[in-house]
Amino acid sequence: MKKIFSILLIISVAVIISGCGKQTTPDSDVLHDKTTEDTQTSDTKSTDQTEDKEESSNVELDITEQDLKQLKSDIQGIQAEDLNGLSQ
Amino acid sequence: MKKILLVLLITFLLIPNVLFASTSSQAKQDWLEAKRIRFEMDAGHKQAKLDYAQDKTQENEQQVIDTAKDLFNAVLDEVESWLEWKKVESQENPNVPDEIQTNIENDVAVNVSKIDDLRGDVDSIKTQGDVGATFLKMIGSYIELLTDVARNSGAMWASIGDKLIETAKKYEQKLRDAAEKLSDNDEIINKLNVAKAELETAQDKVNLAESAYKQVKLPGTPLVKFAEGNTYLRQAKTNLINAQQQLEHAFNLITK
Repeated sequence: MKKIFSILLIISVAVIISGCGKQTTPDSDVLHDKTTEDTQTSDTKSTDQTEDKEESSNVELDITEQDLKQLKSDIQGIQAEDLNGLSQ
Repeated sequence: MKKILLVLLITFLLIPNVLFASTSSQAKQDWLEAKRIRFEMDAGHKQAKLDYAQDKTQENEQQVIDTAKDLFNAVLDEVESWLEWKKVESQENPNVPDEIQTNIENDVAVNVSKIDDLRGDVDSIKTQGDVGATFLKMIGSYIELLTDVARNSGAMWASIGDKLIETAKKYEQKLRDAAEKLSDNDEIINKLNVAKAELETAQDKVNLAESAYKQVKLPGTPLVKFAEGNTYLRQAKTNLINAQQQLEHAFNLITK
């Protein structure tokens, strides 16, 4: 009986761990996170590039590529789904 | 002992689903699944009615009653999952005004309670006469259950649309200020002009959507008005996407 209990416990823990790993991040969030990561990485580069250009052109710009990416993400999040009625 | 272990195992297996089911995307998936099941049940009920029309046996009559009960329960599941999605959606989005979020939460609580009452009506169906009477009740209730939350959800998205347009307009102005300091800026200014025009159109569409959503009420044609508001909102979304692309191009030209 103890063996059965141990096996069940191990399976349960394993399932919980794997379940958490799969479900804590919805697909859209994964994509968003990837985008964020990519953006953050590219931000570092683009910030550097922006600083270089700003130095050369003396143009002050207080918005970042990340601001525009976030705007895009927020716009894409707009939901406008219709509802069906009931028919005979 | 074995039963206890089995219950424990099932509980552990369900924990992740329970913990992480309440995200907007998951709630939407639940609604879409409930909708799919409703169509499946609808097809089953229609087939049962055809079978009964061809062969009026007691067995076929019972099949009509049983499939009708399945269909009604599926309709209620669909409505409940839609209400749940709208509630989670309003709770998750930081741009939703508190008043709208509270209204949605209250309406959902009231309507879920009404759904429970309707489930009781469905359970008590015994005859084809009961099916007809319950169907008529369901048609009225279906729209009633959805109307308030649909109106508030529409108001929520119109408000978010306004905020996004406001943000985009600020970015457009900042980029324009920067571009005007450059000597060779024609291409950038052209892109910003396109973005500005798209944002103005988006604002018009959001205003139209807001107006349509305000008419989502009874008596009237709430679902038609809701669809009308959604159409304007989708158009505004397209304009916003176009504007954002132009802003991004302008940004790249300024910082290249």
